[in-house]
Amino acid sequence: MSQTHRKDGGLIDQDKTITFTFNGQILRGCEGDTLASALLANNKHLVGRSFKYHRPRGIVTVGSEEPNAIMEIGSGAHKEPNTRATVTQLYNGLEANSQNHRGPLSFDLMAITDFFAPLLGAGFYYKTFMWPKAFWEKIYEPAIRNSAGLGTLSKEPDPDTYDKGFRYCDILIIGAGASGLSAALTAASSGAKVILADEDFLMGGRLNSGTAKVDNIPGSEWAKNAVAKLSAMDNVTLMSDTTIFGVYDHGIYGALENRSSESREDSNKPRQVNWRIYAKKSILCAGAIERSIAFGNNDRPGIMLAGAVRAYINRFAVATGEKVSVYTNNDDGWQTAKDLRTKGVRVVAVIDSRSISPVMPIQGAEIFMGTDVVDTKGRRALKSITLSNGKTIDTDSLAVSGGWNPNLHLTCHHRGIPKWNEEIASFIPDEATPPGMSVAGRAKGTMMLSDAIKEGHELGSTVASDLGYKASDLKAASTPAVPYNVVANWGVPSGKNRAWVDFQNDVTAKDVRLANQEGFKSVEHVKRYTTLGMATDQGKTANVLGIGIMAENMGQTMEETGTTIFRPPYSPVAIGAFAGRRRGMEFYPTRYTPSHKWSEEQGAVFVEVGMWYRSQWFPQPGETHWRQSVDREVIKTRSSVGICDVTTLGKIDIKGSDVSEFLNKVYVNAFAKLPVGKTRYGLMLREDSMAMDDGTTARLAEDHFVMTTTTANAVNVYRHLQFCHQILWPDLDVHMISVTEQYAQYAVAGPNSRRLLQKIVDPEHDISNEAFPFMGAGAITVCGGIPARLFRISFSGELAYEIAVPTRYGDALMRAMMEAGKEFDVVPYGTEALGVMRIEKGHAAGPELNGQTSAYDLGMGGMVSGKKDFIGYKLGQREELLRNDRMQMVGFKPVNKGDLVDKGHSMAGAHLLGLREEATTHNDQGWISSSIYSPMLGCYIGLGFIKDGLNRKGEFVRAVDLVRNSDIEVEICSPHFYDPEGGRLRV
Amino acid sequence: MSDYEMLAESPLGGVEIEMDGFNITEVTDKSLVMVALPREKFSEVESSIDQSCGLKLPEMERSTESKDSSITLWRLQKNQVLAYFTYEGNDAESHLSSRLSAPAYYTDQSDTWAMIRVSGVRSRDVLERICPIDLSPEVFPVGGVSRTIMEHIGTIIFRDGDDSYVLLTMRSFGRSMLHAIEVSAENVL
Repeated sequence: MSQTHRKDGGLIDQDKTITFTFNGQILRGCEGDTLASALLANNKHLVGRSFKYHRPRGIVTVGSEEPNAIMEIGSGAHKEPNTRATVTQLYNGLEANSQNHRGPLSFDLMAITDFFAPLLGAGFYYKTFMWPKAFWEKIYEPAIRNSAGLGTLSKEPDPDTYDKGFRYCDILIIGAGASGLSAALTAASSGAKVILADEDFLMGGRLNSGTAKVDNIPGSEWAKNAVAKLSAMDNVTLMSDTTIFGVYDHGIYGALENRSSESREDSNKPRQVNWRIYAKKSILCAGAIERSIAFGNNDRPGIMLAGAVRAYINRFAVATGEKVSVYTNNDDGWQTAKDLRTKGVRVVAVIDSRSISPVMPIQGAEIFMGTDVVDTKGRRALKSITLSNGKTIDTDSLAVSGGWNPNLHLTCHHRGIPKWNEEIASFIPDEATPPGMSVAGRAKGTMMLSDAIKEGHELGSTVASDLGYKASDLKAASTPAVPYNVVANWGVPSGKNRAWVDFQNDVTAKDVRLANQEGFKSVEHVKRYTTLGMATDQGKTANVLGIGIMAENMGQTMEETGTTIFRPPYSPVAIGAFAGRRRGMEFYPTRYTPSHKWSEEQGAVFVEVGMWYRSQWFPQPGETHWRQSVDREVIKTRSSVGICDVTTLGKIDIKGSDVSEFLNKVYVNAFAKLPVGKTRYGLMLREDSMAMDDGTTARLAEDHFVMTTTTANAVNVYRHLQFCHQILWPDLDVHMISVTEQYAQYAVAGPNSRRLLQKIVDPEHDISNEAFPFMGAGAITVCGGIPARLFRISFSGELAYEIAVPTRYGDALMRAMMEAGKEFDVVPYGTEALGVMRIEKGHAAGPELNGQTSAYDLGMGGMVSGKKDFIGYKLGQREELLRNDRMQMVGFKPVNKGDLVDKGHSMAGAHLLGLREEATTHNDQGWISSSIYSPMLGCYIGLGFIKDGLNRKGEFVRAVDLVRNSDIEVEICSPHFYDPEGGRLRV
Repeated sequence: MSDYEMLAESPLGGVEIEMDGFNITEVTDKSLVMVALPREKFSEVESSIDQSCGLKLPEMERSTESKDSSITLWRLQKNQVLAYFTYEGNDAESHLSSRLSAPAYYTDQSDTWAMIRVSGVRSRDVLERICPIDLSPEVFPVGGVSRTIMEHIGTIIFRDGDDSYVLLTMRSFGRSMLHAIEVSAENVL
């Protein structure tokens, strides 16, 4: 028989049946059910096994604070562990499986741990598994790992997608229950922009789980009408199934919107959207969460919180049992008994720990005042309870209420500290809430519904008027005043029976006592030592109970004992939701060069340089190893001509009447007198005198320069120049803008480079050696009037130019030059060949400009001007930096030319040591910063830094690489291995 | 007459995508030139532009448009305006400087930016997935312009109509930006 415990009515659609499975068994529920309510409708109370002791456990709550009913939902790659059944909306085909058992749920083989419970108390792992020492790694740890953990992962990539979003509002109202809806109605009436969010898929809060009448109609109907009214307003955004999980700085809130029903229909849609909400003000109307009472064996399936039992019968039309009993310390627990009776469910007993008169008559129930529950029976399903007066009661569902805790989590995200309120025996929010946040209703400690509605209603209007909006004159909804009286009851002595506090982490009252006994006096220490409140539910139903027990143990007040720190997220958020779209190719953007399409056509191999894709080399048919391609590109460029896309290097256009003075201050060398039409190499230092970046800067007009930077530092240098301009010397007339992307730029290098260019440069521009000497620069036109810029600079050491055209012509120019260069056997070359050639030539680059090297260390001391101040000058006068035996940049070549060739790797990263010294850091003299195989020299070479290098040319040392196991003799030499005189540059 | 024909390419090949209440189009008929205002010449530049084109310098994060709508000036920085104007040739800098006739510094930015117009009644719904700034019509009026970061890409956003925005990103990021907009549309519509 299906849905044996389903009654009539409720806020579900009993005409729409939904089929789902639990542990392989096919079950039925209705639209509007959660997985938990559907399981209870089918009388399934046993839903899992506890974390440590593998005790049978049942559903406890009706909300996101659920400690026990956590399951694996879905299968295959979609499987998600630790999902709370109480907030999972039921859908057709839902597959749920219980967690944490070996063998079937009803006969968990791991339950043997329950018998060892006396040995496994709080902190047991600090006192056990220590001997013998050798056993830890091979036996204890693997065994613990095997039995520990909650839920299993599919280990497959998440097939769902997630998205992010940004929303702005005047007022964010958190919680759409009675006070939240009231606040929203008044706030929205003022014209303020309102976002109303609720973690439930059905707005209304406890109006949906109770029977209170509001404005003379059922509370759930009033809620429905309020929601309809709000959704018709343009200035209101409703976000149901959305958890506000964090309060961040500056009025920013994290919100997780669940859109899984949409993504089930269309797998292209995101399953969840992680919103960043910017709110000028917020009103927290998060209600309250019920707490339990610690008594012997209080964790059996069938023992639930009273408010939850009430919600199940009212909202979901599900009876949690056939003979229900209630155990409470407050008036509210009686409401559950009353609502059960109204729906025709048998209530066998109401047990109230307070010594007062019964709160109301409950037909057919035995009433016990001033009494407690001390024990229960029924391992897999509750069978009976034993009272403090000795009586035993047959019952299959016990509804427990230890009181209500204002849900003040979010008020404490900025380190607020809740205050204990004796009247309601609960913590209430600190006055100091996060900036902009007010609190209304039960979240504030205003327990009566009538007061909560009024509070929300007034606050909506007040907060709106704080922002300059005037609310309409609306009347607050009315509801009969129902008082809330409570006397704190943390539990009764349970003897040898265990009284559970934190269900999910299996922490008992005895564990808390043990922690106190062992000297853990701070609530933060007790939390970590016992793990109370550290599970996925973060102890929402357990923390205050634990604090109460601790306070009693230590003879302290609740205020003195205090709470632990509250941190976002309020409830678990999948890592995927934080990642959003940052997966695969979208992890960050990809930047493509102007020659990318052409390079792809050539079958180029690409390398990631920051976000850029650059051609690394261009393999030709028949080439099977990258060295073949790179060596060929070097040889052909040096013997004829090669072309390389250098667009990615930073280009900064600088104009103004004070530019040359500005450049003088940022470079170590002089630029003020650079003639128009000339380029100069410049070195830029940090304030601490370490080399920051280098490049060439060309003067195109009296007040117009174009600076280049390395690819990696393009943004850094631009920022640095802006800092200098805006902060250091704001009086200088200097204007700069990046033109890295404005021009496609290509290096054309080799003895035939000029001949190639002469075929595309328009004839009116003379680029002969005489008319356009080395380091010349100027505007020209190419291919029939296309504007271009030409710079005669060389990174490779060959006769070379860099030619720039507006990027719209970048692809066309590459093709035109390759066509024009056919007669010279032109080769495209990539970043590898580029690197080989600059190392052969002895040019410093990124690996040498590593932040630890000064201009002198780089062998550029001669460039440093003695006639002007520049950034880095002052701190360059420090004694250590003026020593002449610092680690200086020189070249290294193997004594045996063939060394490393058979190993197939370079000297990069090797450290330099004396010929007979032990390879220790003490004997370390320096390191190899860049190293490649030189096709021109026929051996590996390197650039590096060695102590007193400039004075040691000709000496032999060792290059030792302990990672790749090589140790070779090298000769210290000039870094300019190829064409040291520079003759090839100037032809 | 050159032996080599050079064809210009726009960053996104003139892409045009129509969706339900949302359109994506590459803007290819506009050029961009940065106009830097020399120190102590602000008022001179201002009056020259007023004289030549009837244009005032806009306030920060706002724009001004010439009567024939051919030139729009965007103010994103105190000492700069970005001129966004109808022109497709190779000499944007000299073209603009002769039109404005102002003693400013001009630097061509026409090839630096990929320009994508998103328009339609659902444009704000789509953009709120990637745009961290407030696009509410009261806060970001027609003619407003701002800088922000969308999906890790620096972006200039200009509202050129009730339901129309032009997004500019550096050219090399163009494909990634287009993809970010397309995914947003797929997720929302």
